[in-house]
Amino acid sequence: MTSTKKDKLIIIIAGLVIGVIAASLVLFGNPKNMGFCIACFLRDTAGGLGLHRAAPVQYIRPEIIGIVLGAMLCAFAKKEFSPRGGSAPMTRFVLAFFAMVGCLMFLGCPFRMILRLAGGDLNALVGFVGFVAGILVGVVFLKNGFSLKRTYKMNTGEGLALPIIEVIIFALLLAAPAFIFFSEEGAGPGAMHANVWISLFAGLVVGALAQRTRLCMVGGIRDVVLFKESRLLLGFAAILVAAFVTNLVLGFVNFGFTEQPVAFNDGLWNFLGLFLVGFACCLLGGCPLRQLVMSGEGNTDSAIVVIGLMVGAAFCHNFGLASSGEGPTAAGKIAVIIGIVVVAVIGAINTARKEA
Amino acid sequence: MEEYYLLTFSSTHCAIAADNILKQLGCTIMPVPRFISASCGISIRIKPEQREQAEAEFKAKSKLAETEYSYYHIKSDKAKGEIFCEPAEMLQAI
Repeated sequence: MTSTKKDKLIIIIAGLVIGVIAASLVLFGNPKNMGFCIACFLRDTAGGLGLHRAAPVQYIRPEIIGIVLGAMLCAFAKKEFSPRGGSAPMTRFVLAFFAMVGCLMFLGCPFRMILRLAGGDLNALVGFVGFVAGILVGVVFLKNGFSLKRTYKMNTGEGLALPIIEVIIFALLLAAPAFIFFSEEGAGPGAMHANVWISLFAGLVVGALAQRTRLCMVGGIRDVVLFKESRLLLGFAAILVAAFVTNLVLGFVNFGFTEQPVAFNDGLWNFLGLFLVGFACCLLGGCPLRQLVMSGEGNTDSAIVVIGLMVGAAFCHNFGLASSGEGPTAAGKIAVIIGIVVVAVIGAINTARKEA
Repeated sequence: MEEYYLLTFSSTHCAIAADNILKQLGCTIMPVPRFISASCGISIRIKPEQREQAEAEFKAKSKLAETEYSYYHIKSDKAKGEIFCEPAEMLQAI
């Protein structure tokens, strides 16, 4: 049984809108091929809050805030706000931590992977293969009964905590007190950003659309593999097509492996970085974008994932684990390998043996 | 007029566990329809004639807590474009 034509049409339209918005944000000032990047933007926000001191990447990104709040508002409008949590929070934190290690190895989350592809960055194709491989490994665990156990109903305050924190962080961005960090002009990607209100609005729209359609890159591949259901993947195909066409119009397409913005040309580590992301996010039940959206719906397990992603980003930049345009660091490579092992162990200990 | 019962789940592993139990009875997987609130996205469709057997198998073999799944009764009239959806109760065991 497959989705109705109408469901597929809706997600395609949503994907087209999101793709145009994402490519347009680059025109408005975001770094190239980075209209959206959940990982990079959480990392930048961590920097803005002083959780790390890497000067090139410090800026509280309103896109993140917009996605959480847009998803929350859409959920409330449809009476889908449902505070719940309590499903292996520490395990999720650890998985999220290593998902970020993988993202910062590749220099992008699965959403940015699509946008890099739409900009002609063929390194993202290598990453995509790694991403799919990681998800396939995660699916093996799912099929064997991997479970992080049940969620529990929480009270409204618990569900609203992260959205409220996001509003406070937005206030800090606007007020710009001395203890909030801003990358200086020319210092790096953190200094490249669209106008605050444009970024916020873009995030609100994407958050609402992603909530409405349950958009998720990991889910897209997982659902095709497990259930032959292509609805989510169609949404991402639409994002890719729309972003690519917008990039063509704006002159932002540069096909190739070298000279790519905020990217590097080491196939093995682009593969392994996103392999770790696919693996960890499959066990977490969704890609970073989906986790942001679910946290807006009141899911505190996803809120823990967002925290884990931010702590992971801070850790990576405090200890030189993140890649740069020059390539991966030695410590980063070790961290990715450790991450794959840790995620595999988490997968194994949380998988119930099937009764013979 | 199409009538069926639908199980939705709070996460994918619950859907997989239930699918392993119910697919032998011919129950099919489908994406959660839009008019049902957010879930993991995958649901299981149970035909009215399979209902008693599917519910019995599900209750006997699945270890899902009540918060992990939701159950609906759906009637859709494609000609009129109307859909009628209500939460459903599983039949009581004898």
